[in-house]
Amino acid sequence: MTLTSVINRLGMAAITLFGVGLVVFVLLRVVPGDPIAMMISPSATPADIAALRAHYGLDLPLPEQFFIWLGNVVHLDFGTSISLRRGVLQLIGERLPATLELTFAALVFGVLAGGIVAVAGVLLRRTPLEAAMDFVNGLFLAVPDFVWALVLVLLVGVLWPIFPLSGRLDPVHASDFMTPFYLIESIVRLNWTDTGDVLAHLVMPMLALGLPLAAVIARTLKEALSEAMVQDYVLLARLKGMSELRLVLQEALRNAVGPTLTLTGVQFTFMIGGTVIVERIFAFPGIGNMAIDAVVNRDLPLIQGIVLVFGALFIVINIAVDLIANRLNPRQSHG
Amino acid sequence: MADVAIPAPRSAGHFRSLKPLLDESRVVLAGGFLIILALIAIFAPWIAPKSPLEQDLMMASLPPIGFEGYEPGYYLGTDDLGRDVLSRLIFGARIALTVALVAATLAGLVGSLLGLASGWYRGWTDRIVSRLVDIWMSFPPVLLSVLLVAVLGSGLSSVIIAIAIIDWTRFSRVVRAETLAQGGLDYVTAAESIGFSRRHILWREILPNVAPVIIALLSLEMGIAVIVEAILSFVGLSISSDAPTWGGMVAQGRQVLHESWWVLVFPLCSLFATVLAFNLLGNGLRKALDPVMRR
Amino acid sequence: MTPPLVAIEALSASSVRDGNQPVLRDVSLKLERGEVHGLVGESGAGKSTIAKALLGILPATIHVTGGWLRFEGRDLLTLPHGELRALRGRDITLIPQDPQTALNPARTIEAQLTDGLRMKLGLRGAALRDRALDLLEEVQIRDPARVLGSYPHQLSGGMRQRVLIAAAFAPGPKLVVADEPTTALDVTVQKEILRLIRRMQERHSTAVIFVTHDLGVVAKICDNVTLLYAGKVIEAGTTADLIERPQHPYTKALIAAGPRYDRPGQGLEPVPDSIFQLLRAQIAGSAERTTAS
Repeated sequence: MTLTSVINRLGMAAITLFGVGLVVFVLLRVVPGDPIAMMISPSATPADIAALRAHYGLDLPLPEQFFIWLGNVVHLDFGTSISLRRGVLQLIGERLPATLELTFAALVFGVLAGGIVAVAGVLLRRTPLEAAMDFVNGLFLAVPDFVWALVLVLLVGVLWPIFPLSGRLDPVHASDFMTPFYLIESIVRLNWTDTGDVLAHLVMPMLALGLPLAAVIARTLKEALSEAMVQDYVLLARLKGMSELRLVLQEALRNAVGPTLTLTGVQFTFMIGGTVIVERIFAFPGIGNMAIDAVVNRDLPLIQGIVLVFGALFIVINIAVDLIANRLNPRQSHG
Repeated sequence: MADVAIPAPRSAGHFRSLKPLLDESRVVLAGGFLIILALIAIFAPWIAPKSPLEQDLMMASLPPIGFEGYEPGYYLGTDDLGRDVLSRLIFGARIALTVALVAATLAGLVGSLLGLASGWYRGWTDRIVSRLVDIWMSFPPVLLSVLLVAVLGSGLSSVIIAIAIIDWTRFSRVVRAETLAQGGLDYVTAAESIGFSRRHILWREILPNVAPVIIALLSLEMGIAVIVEAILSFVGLSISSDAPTWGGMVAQGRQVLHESWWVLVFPLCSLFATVLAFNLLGNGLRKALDPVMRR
Repeated sequence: MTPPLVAIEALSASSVRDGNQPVLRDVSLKLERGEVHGLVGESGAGKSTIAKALLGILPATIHVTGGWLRFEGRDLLTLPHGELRALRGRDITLIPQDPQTALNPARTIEAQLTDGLRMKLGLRGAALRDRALDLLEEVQIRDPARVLGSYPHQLSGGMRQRVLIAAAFAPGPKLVVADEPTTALDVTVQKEILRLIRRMQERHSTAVIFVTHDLGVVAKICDNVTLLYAGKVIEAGTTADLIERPQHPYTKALIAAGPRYDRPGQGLEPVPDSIFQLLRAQIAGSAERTTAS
């Protein structure tokens, strides 16, 4: 990708983010239900209410409110949460790391599991096992993360209680951490007890998010691999005496990974959206869980901030995927 | 013997496309399941053994028939308020299918029209629609739906409108791409050379060729709508928390998981099966209705 | 007495897909060490079926119905999978038809050229790289160091075919199967490639099975020829004999059909229909005899 096209993409991203901000802003100003009404005591006078409204800038005309907000956002000032009475940026800073660790764990799981299933499917082609794997994969493709999360809750909660079903770690360990990146911090500090606890809490939501992703990767990659496996260069490599596993990994994989990567990027953005409900189900203290609370509490500044963060993540991932895809294609990086 | 096979006569017209559909056992299975589900939903008041709303704390948290401590008549047990799980499940099918049908149709209508317009007229129409889709896509759909229902207020119609507002992009993206592809084919050029108007070509030539894709997407979207409704109910934003929705039942079941697992299991199974059926049907339709050219 | 390198004896095969249509009928041929043997015929004559059988990659739709295919006295058709894999890529290698598709677009030339050296000869490090450079020089590639680091799309078709030839000769095989290695190339490049294959095979005293539909190519490179039609050997012998004194009318007609550089204005006569009728009658006749006996 050339520099101009990167700048182009960033420009488009800025327009999209502006649109996201505008949509949310307009949407939220038509919310019935006054957020102020929820935070005052019943004994407050109309003057108190007016003062509070003025404090949050809610008394100004809508366009003015929007541009004040926009100006603040550009300076990374997202305002103060009405329900939690703390800086929105600070709140996001505390919760986003949990969501990031969760999504990256799910991404790693999805890529590994999907990749292994795809390779195994190609190695087992034209056997009954392949058909069985395709069938199971079809189930994972058809049924969304929300349902899988609850199935996992059911399995682990009732039948085989091996993993915790809610939270991010045992409260006993909560004071061990200085940063909100629990997983990374515990690994860096070589505190394996904490790592184990964080991982155990991560497993269930990670599976719920990662299984549909794994299924998508497994199917796309398997198709691409099967296509590559009948190419002349694979035949020639087979004639050189390479084993089938090596043919798949060394000859076919690199040529098959392109379309899979693009799709993985798209799926990854879906997965970030999926954190909203999966975090809710597993009471995982991430940004998605907080988003639902914010909506339920009509916490306008917090909702706006979270939505913008999601939009920005979405755009960053898309650009990153394009960059990686370009890197992997020898025709463009060396040609 | 002549070794030239005589081609079997083919039934004419649209019926040709039904044959491969019925060949797919999965499609038959999925379609059959959905028809039965629809019948259950329609005749719910006659089928349900109990009232879906009536609470009876004397009968709270009864297990399903066959488990220790069950009561006859409560086939799938009761929840912690003593409501009959089976009856709530049956009435829940009504809400799920209503949302699926209406929301998917609305989303399909809006999305397909915008997709057709941007794929056929291109230019500024396309630019605006595409940018809108980009903006829509960067919202997490669950968050957007929660937001919309918060804005619109709880209730069945809010849920339906929210789903339509969120998911029209699924249709518009695919229909636009399909329309673009169809627009470049020879039959369109031929129609243009005869002198048909742009609008005539869009409705009479292109739409029939894009329709199979729309139909398949509709089926897939119905599955998605069922899930979104369940999610909203789960979060507590859908219809009144009393109403027998599958999502609401699931949310309740999540709370009492360790005491009465059946409150979660049965609505979850219903969700699972319904989504799977809509998916199998949609994918089967897509395969079977795909014009021969693109195979 | 050592057995010939390759001995095909009364090999018959049929295609399951075409209603058990025979694709090889009683084919026999011998190949000595260091010999270049042309397998000639139009498409469907069975020449590539023989090549695939030698490489052990017959498609599942082709069933061998009789005969033997011996390599140094061992029957390749019944050889255990492990032994076949050991043989493949070491004693028998392939020069493929289309250099555009036979190189992996995602791997460097060095990686693909040295596969055989690494896997079969166990070379590593500097020795491996030196051998790769030598090989590229042998096939007359200029600036071999740069080419080693390149990807296939950065090379011309002729260069790629040279790389593939180098890779085929790299592990020091006893037999190289050349599957129409010049068909996909420009006419100007074709001659160089033919000369190169001949020189490589002479230098390494490797036997080559040269699969082609072009008698002109055979005349340039082969010691002996087997001419096939519809899976049956029509005529076989030394190249000189076959070209100068063809016995079978089909051979004569094929020679007449090729361009004659020595006598401009002649040649390019299409093969007359009467000859195809004769061929069909002969094949039907011999099939009847086989069933009768």
